[in-house]
Amino acid sequence: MSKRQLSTPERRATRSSGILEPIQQLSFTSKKRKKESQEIETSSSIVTSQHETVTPNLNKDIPLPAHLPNHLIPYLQVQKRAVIYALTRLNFVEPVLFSETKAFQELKQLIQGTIDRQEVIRLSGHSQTNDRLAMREIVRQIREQSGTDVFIDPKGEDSVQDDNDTNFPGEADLSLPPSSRLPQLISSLPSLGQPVVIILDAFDKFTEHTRQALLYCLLDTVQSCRGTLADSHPRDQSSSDPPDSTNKRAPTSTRNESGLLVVGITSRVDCVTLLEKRVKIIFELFKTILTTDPGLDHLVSSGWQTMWSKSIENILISKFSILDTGFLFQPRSGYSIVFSLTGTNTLIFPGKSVDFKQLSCLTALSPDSPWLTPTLLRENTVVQRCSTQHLFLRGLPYPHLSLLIAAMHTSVAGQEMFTFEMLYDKFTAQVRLTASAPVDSERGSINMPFIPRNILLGAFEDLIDNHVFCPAIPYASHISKEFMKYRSLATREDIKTTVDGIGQTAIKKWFYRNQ
Amino acid sequence: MADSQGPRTRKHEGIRAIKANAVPGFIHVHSPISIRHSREIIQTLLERGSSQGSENGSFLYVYLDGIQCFSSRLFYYRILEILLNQCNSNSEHEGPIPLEDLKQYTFDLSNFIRALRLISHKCNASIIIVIERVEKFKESLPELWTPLSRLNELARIPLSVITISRASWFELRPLDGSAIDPLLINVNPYNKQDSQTYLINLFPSRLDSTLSPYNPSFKPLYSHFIATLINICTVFLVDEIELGYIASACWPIFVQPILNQWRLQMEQSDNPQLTLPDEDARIRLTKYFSPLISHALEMLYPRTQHITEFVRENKLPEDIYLSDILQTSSIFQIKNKDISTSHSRTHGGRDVPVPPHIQALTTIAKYILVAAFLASHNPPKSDLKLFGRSSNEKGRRKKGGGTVKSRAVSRGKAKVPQRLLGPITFPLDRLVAIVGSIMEEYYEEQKNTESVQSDDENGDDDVNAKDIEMVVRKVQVLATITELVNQGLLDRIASEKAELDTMTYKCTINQTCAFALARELGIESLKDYMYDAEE
Repeated sequence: MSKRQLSTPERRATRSSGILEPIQQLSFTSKKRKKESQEIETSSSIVTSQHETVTPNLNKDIPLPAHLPNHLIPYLQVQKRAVIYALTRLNFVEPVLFSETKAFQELKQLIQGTIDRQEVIRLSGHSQTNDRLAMREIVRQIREQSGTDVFIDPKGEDSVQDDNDTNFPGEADLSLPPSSRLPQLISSLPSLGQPVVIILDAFDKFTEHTRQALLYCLLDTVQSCRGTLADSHPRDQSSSDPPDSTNKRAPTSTRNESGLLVVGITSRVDCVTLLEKRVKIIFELFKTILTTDPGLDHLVSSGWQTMWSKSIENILISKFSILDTGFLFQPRSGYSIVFSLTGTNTLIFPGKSVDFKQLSCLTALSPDSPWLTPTLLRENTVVQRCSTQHLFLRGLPYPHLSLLIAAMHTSVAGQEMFTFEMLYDKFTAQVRLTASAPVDSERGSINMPFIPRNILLGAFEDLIDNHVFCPAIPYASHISKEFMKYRSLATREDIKTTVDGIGQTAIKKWFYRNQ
Repeated sequence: MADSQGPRTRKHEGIRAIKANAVPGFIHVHSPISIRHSREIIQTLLERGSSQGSENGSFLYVYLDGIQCFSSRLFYYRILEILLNQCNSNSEHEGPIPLEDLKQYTFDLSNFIRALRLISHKCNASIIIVIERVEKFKESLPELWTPLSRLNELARIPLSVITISRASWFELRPLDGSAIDPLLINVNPYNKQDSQTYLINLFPSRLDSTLSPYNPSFKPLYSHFIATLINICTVFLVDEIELGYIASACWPIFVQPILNQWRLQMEQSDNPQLTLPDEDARIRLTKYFSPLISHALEMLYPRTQHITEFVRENKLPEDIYLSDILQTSSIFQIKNKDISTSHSRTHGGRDVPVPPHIQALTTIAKYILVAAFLASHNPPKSDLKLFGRSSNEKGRRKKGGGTVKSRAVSRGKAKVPQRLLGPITFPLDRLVAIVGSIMEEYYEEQKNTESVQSDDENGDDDVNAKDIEMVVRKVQVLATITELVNQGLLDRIASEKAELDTMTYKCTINQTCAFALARELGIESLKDYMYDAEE
């Protein structure tokens, strides 16, 4: 019986250490880590079996220790690492800012499966910000992949000379082709001898290029091109490739031309509306929509696993709502999958209410507080997601706070812009006011301590550094720092929470004083 | 991973956790108070990680300051250069790119990414780019923001960008929403307890000599000292690095009486009983030195004084012993230096001396400065009321124009006094007129009372209005103004090409200085000449 019980955790252990390998590639100290985690796993099998004998009936009665026992600390590390690793892979789940990496990979796999031999040219709207950069990148990638040097001729070298754009000696091969050669370059793509696939990442950024010339040329070439990708592969081109789901493809066939496929990838739904009419007409011929399917790795480490999933369960049961961050926390299966990282490789994300950054509260876990709690989750959500900007104000010392309150009073008085002198004046006036009534209540003095001018000025500069005070007029050499005009970005609410938290009567009084 | 770092505090738990694990592609560390401490921790972790990983070359890292990179080429070049150097030293064979050819890879973003890819593949390592003060990029390289956040996906290699800034991500992110949101790590400032532990741990553990202030036997006393220091300073200051700076200035002075005592004992006997002060003495000692700590805060935190200068100035004499200290209550009684009153000093105070570089000016230059100050802080329309005289009644100012108060009330919105908004510009003519007006009233008096030199200005003893006008219209006045501009006491606003007549100026001296200067010139109440003087 004991043999049998032991065998399960052992199997799990080997499985999990295998899965952990890609994580180790990313971690800082791969070799050491690897050893460590293997040790963990081997020891885990023993630990686990103990656990299972003690509590045969899963989660129900597992006590969650407030402080993590020493033997489980490595598990916490592994768990954190696993989740964070998942995070690094999960970037693309971000609902608004859809990262294209995953789409790229899927597409590449797809293409490789379909066509035997092809040139794949990748362009990104983020790095190729104009047509000439894009052209150069095309030339270079073609040269790297096929060794052909079709596009640069001596004439082109000459015309480069009069380009005002960054030209450096010894960079002849990297020189920018003039934009006038764009149609020629693009139209010669199909005659390369093998199919060319052009992938345009951040497609929407390409629409910002001048006259959308690159897009037009590409699409125009595709339209007129008589070559076909299907020549090299029986699978067809005109009907839709079911697993593919990209914006557009357009292969056609002819004599010795080998075909051109243009793929645009974007996260913008309204991308088509950004296209110019002439581009759009061609574009409208082809369109499909992409959805990606994120995969998840598994983490299995038995004894830990039960406790961990129990703690997750606790969260799911608690059904709290994060009202102050503007959305409701709705526990669904997606959550449990993400947190436990087992069982399935599909995630159900309930709309906008979840994104991967909520998981990053894991980084705050420590042996002293090893479990996820609703509070932790809420705090983390506030930090990662909430647009209340100035959370850090809570930790600010007295001089900074005084300046913020002074700035607030100034703006209440109708002066949106203020100088340091104005705040200093307000502050000294307030100090004088409190000092004039030297009453010591039981809870302590109600006097506001005076702050030397230099220290207050230091605090002022701190707030500028923190972008809480932002300059309201451009810097000029003849305005000294005390008289530079600023505007405060801290809202009344921000300051209010800080003041309420700090519990100093004098400050509070000043804050609530009616101007 | 960070266990050897002494007691862990919650503050940097987030950073440590991230660093100890796989690194997400883009992290923003928001460290509003003590960015230097966060930087130190990240650097230590990176160094340790890279030295451990040097056996298998697991990662390369770059640490950059946003200030260094004010152009994109500079940014690319710097990163690639550091990476290549690390690559060369790690792998013991040439990096993928010779350093001489590096320039062409800084050409644009795609080249830079290509170079990154080459390096990463060659060294078989992931790359970590840490950029401090990344808020500078928002102004200097706005076009780089989005690619920077997406570098990981653009390069398609294991790469992560870590940005450290005092500004929060919500301030920095590009407005078009094209950047990927980073993993945010907020570094909260230390609380009292944390900074106390941190500072006490900084006490060195090795013994230099018995009479060193950092003798390990002082450690318990040092803990008490730190507690006092933190109690005094945390009202104003929470940055633990700054607190450490102040502590390092005050501690040698603090232990000096004890050291003096010990030295005396060592000289007197061969086997001295070197003891720390007892509880009562310790409390007296702390009480005695607490004004020094607040003085140090005032001088050192704004860096008004350098630390060595501070120590030299406040050092106790060699013959002060612990017993002397216990009889007096404050350090400044011995040193006879009433610094604690500086708290009550406000600007416009009576006893502020004129700064030496202004003191050295000629009398006429001082008049010009005072006049410039008035011109900069009074609205031009008030000149007639403040300086105007009727032709026959000498010394009497013109009436009318309404009082300052009634005018202020009649306006809807409260007007901010000019002294808070900073100096306004004034043309040369106005300055000369005001100089004339003041000199007419006071120059003569001063001549009579002082009757000292200043022969270079005017040899005659009796000066009447006409002479004053002569003085003022002299070329020398214009020369003096130019001189003052060169010294930075006046600011010339108009461009270089402008005619001398149309030149406008601004006065840069502050109110305190102007009042002191006025007193020196015998103008008893400069306030009378100010449109909205401080009450």
